Amino acid sequence: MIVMPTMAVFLQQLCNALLLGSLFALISVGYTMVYGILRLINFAHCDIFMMAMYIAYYSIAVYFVPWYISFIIVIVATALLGIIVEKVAYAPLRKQNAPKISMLISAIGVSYFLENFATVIFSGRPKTFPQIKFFVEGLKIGPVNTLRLCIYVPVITAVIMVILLLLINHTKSGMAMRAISKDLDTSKLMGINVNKTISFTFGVGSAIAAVGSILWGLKYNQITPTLGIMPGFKCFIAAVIGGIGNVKGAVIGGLMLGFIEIMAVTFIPSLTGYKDVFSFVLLIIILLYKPNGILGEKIADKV
Amino acid sequence: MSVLSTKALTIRFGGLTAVEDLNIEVNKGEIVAIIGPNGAGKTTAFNMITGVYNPTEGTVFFGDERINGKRPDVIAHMGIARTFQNIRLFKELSVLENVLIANHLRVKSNLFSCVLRMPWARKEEKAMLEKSLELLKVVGLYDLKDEKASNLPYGLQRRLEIARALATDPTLLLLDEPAAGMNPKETEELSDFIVEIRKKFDITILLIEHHMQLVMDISDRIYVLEYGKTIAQGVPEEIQADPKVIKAYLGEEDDD
Amino acid sequence: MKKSKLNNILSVISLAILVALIVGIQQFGLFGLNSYVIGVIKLCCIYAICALSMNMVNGLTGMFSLGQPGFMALGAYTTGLLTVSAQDKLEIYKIKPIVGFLANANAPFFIALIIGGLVAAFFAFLIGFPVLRLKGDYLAIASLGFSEIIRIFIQNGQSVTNGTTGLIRIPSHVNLYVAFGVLALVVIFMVLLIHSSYGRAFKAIREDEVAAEAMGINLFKHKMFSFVISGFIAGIGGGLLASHLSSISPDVFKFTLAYEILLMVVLGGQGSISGSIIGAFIVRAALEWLRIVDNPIKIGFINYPGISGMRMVVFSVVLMLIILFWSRGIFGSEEFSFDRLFKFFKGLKKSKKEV
Repeated sequence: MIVMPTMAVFLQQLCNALLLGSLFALISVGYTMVYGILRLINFAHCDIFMMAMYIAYYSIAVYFVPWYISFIIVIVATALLGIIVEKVAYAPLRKQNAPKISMLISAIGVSYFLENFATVIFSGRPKTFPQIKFFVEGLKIGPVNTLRLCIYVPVITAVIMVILLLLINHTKSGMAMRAISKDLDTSKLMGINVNKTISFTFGVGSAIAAVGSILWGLKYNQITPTLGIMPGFKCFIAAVIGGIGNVKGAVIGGLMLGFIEIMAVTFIPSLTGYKDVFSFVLLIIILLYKPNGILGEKIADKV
Repeated sequence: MSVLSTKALTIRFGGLTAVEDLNIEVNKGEIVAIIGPNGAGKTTAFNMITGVYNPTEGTVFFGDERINGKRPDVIAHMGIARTFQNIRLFKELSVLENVLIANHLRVKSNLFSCVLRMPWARKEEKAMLEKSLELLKVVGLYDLKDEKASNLPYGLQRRLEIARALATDPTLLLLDEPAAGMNPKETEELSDFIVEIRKKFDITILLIEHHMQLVMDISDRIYVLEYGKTIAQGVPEEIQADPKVIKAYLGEEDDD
Repeated sequence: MKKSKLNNILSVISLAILVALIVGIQQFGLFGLNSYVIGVIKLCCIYAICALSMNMVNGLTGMFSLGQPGFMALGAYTTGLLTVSAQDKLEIYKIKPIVGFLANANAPFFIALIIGGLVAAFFAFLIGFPVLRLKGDYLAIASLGFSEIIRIFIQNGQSVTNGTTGLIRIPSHVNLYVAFGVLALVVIFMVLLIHSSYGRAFKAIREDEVAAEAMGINLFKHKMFSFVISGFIAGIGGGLLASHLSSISPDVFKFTLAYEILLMVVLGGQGSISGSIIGAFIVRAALEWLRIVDNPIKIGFINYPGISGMRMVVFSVVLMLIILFWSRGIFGSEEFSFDRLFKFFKGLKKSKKEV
């Protein structure tokens, strides 16, 4: 069953694991931030991620906008999309004080809508993400043959995370976010503009997902309307593993999942067909033995 | 004979000690009250007795049996029933259904014989229905039996919650602020009601209450908690004269 | 609420009419319905069964589980494997031959259906241990996850399930009698359950878990009952689906199926049996009817080119609109009755007068 890989293959896979883990981390952050504030699984997050990839595709490959300008367009457009989704699907329910289940169903509805919408306007046939030389040029480090991406992605992820943590911990908006995640009602009373802060959270989470999306496209090339679903599941799981609501936790969870997925298949190739199962199994184990995740705080039920 | 006793019961949430070294003893047939300012740890004590929280230290004995660490439903089975400070009825269900549900824990027929309406299951269901209707008559809610629980006026909701607790056939009944939000007339009726059910159902009652008149009227003994600690205990007259209690309650006037 | 005599009479009459219609269509080709329309009606029944299965857990017991596709898949594959003939199995399995003990396993349709239900129930039992400790959205994601795990295993279990190709040549035993008959049995079972002590305990858990537990209801045990029964019903639904479609593949049981069933339950009203059935019929029929937006339409000068997949967009928008503006659904948690219908019309008249 267990196959020992050669050193070169192992190092190669280590690179891939770091890359996949970083991408997971970028997507997880959006889940964790929204959950922290609204206690809601934003099912649509994975589809926002998918839409970002299509926007990038059209901008670069169809309209030939230079890639660095395209990136900015994608990030801004995706952030807007995230904000719109919140305004359309969640804000009205928040106003009605609807039960949590309704929010969740609405989230599922939006997610399903975006997938079907994408199928109609972009067609279900896979598209090929444009190759940008700057990122996908080959790179040889010792025995390892890889792409420049393998270096860029972890670095970009690290930079974004540092900026995000600074934003959350040292700016006014960040403080408002933290206050709302502790207690939404009290925050309202204290004069925090809850709606604005929630929009801001969705915007930031989506923008970071957009970065992840572009990098994902560069690495895995194919785009389909349902492409976001599996990464979406896994990244939500990563957020839970790290401790939902906690940005650092999401990064740890993302990296962990990336490593497990790649390494399991490296050592036990017969598991390849089951690679999507690992994260779910891990989720169940974590929820049973450490329900608040690695860095999560305990939330007590009030009786 | 002791029905309930707690020994050095303590619970901490993180750094906060909500209840510390609580030793209470309730004897058969007594009405015992726990009083104290808000946040003194009274409801937390109830939650430990009924299995909602697991105490950090100490033990709870129900009769001779140690019950801390057991699940709430197991404790209910053993004969401790409770009401909640903020009324937790099954709001969308009828008054009768609320009481019937509390009978479920004594149901012996399994799910399939209930669904298939086997003769023994029917018999059980019929007995359960009769018992519930009888109980509703006793507590004076018979005429409202088909009403949705959430449609009852506040005072009657409290009464239904007590009826529901009684339907589990308890030997010990815990009442968490039964008079909260009641007007003077309702409170007076409640006083009589509590004394009445103690006699009728042959039960022991432990209650948390802020309404001093009620507590002094019906309690056999009283425990006073402040900041998780027991600061006084005794019969009503002793408590009323206790300087520590008076001090704890000064400045608490506007609270309730 | 006591039902009026008129209500009971009307109920009996309408039930009789329904039976007469089913017999008429199946036996005498009433209305000259073509096999496509009859097929849609059968599909509606099957989906109604699956919607009831979800309603059992979500509406009645108040848990949010999305595991239906997985349980349906288990039921469907079991029923399929037990009814495809030994000869066909030899021919279907091209990549890897079928494992020995299944090659000749065969059972009459109804036995196969029940075994399918039991297999699904058994897996629900196993999955229930970890999953039922979770609440709310965690339960939703975990049950959806397990549903996907089941699908991935089916996809990879080449020598048992024939992998991505799936099963074909499943003999079709589903006529209108079977479809409506099984639906009726499920409804009767659920009505009896709801009006039993256990059904009340389920409702208590839905209303308030803490209070239910304080009243001596073992939460885990009762949630497990509900979950396993729901798994069984979904398994039966899946088995019927397999037999009706006569071919199945892992793709049929993707988690988007859970969304479809969810819409039926939400539209009908969570907790309402009649709601789930009507929801299933409306959604299924609408999905068929919406095929027109996938095809070209010409209205006067306007040429609508027809966009394939458009119906799913409409579908998801409807789901959104319902939950945003009408989250109680058609019946809320109540049941259909003629009394309500009359009350509804009286209300309409009144409001018209007031206007």
